[in-house]
Amino acid sequence: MELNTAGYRLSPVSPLFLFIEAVKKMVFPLLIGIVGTSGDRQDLFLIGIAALASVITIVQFWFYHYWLEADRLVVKQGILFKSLRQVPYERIQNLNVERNLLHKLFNVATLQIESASGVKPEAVIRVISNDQVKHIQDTIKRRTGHTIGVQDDAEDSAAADASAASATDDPAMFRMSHQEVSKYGFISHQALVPIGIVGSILSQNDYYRSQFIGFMQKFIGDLHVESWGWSQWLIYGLGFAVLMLVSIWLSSIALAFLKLYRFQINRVDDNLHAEMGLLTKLNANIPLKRIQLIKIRHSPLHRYFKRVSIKMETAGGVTEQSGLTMRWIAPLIAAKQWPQLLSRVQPEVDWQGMDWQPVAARAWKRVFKRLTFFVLLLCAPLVYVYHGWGLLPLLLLPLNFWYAKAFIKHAAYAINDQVIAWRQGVFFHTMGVVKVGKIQNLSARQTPFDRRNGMARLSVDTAGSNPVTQDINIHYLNTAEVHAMMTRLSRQVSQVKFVW
Amino acid sequence: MQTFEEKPLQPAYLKVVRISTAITLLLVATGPAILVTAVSGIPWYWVLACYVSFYGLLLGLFFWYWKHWYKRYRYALKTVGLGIKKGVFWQQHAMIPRNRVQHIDITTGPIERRYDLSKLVVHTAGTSNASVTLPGLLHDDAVALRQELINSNQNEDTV
Repeated sequence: MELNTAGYRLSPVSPLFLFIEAVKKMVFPLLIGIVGTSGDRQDLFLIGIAALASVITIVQFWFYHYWLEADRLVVKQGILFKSLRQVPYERIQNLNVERNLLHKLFNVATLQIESASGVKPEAVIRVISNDQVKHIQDTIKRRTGHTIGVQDDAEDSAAADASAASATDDPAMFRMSHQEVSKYGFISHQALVPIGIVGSILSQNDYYRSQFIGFMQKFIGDLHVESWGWSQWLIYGLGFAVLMLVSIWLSSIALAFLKLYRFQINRVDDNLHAEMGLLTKLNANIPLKRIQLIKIRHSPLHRYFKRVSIKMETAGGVTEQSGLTMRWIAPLIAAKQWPQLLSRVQPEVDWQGMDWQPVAARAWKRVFKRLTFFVLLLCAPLVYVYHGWGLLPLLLLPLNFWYAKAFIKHAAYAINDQVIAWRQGVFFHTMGVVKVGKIQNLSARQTPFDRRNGMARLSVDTAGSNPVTQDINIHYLNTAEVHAMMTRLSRQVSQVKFVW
Repeated sequence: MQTFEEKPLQPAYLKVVRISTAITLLLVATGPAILVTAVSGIPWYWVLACYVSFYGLLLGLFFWYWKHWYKRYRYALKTVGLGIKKGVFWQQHAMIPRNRVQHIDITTGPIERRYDLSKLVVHTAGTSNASVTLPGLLHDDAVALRQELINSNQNEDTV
């Protein structure tokens, strides 16, 4: 194939992948349509719509062209609504390559190009040959110098390991063993939500529910449930709970293996290069300077295993629904090793010598009052219905007291010449770090309660942060402190140029 | 590089927000009033009296609120950037560093145009607080402020 002509088409096997993608998008609504309803004529209607949509998707294949110009990648697509998208190489945030078993069979890959704009990826090229992927990567690398370093695209992980081992001057910065992956699965119990959703959908459906009850009655009928004493109930109840927990854990571990199998992350020039996945292999490439925010989390289970999770946010707002995402620096890493790993990612930051400042100590009263308010709110209807027994939630008050104290004790922030960092959480600890150069704007906020207590909060806005959770928010600080922080940070920010 | 200390908004802007509040309230309140007259058997003059007093009360509350809102609103251009202080109950002090400004819009509504006022909308690359609005500037001031912010940013290509 001649690689340098203008106007490439997708690979001839593309329609297959486009169809699978369309089906994937349809599968969930379809499932609800089939499982959730009685199975009437409306289902045929739904299937009809799905079929039409997939035909349209496949036709799109004929109208998808892209080419590489001196300084930009151009993608032309559309049948009725044509679009011509130009992505300058300089603006490309991430370059993700996805390969699953089917991709491997046809020797092709899905390439996703992400810039800093919006929620959708700039371009998803589904699918092109491996040679072509390599060509695009090389071109981008050549044109931008070090901006987008491109990973060596080894055919399989064994070769990747070999090449990593041979290039001993830069071995894998971080990799996860199988044991770590299973621990991650155990800690994250990701299967909980899907199992819950499936369970609730099935229980909504009359047919499946009666089937299930009939099936269970066969057992329980034999067990003579009506003559059980409390000890039998306890044993079988516990048995059921353990069974559920074990199955959730096992499927979570399986999910973790699918996603994170052979996870490894490397620093190549000024880029992070990660690869992972069992059946679907994901190669992601993230320029270091695009990292906006680094977040370190640990839950009680993390602490039991002495591990933490490290995530990053890049300026591209692509979510899991809209494209391939790679947000991990380390899904699970020993609590002692993370400063070492992060100082390889951002050597300019002093990861261990942060000067943590506490928040206002008297603020525990406010946390306590707020929690107590919710407890009282809970009490009100209970007292109305159950009278004296409704006051039982008041037993939570000592717990509230402890929680409020612990919350304020753990909350802290640190500012130095490179970063602003904060941490908080009692059970689920979160620590976030933003480099000063990535701060877009600052604001100090005061609620009426804040004002009465002489406190304020500081919010820092970055590109690519989650607008819903609004993470970067340091609360319960003294007003004077916040003003000093504002002055200091805005001076620092105005001295550092922002690079996407 | 120009700077100025904290400034209030143009006094005419207080009139603008009051006029638009009065109009909005009129639109919001008329519907329910007509509905009540139509549905209930209360004589129309009672409904009208009720409506007028309710409208007057709301208008009074809002006028009082806007007065304090206006009094608290301050903006300043410092060497580091544009600072805005505002809010009656929930107060906020926002700071947009000059070198983080992506682009600036100037918008003008029909009532504002009568008083020769404009709104300045400053965009940054942030997410939750990506655009900051500064209303109640004389149109010429808004243009000058935009020019100043863009000029002081020009030698640095942020994108």
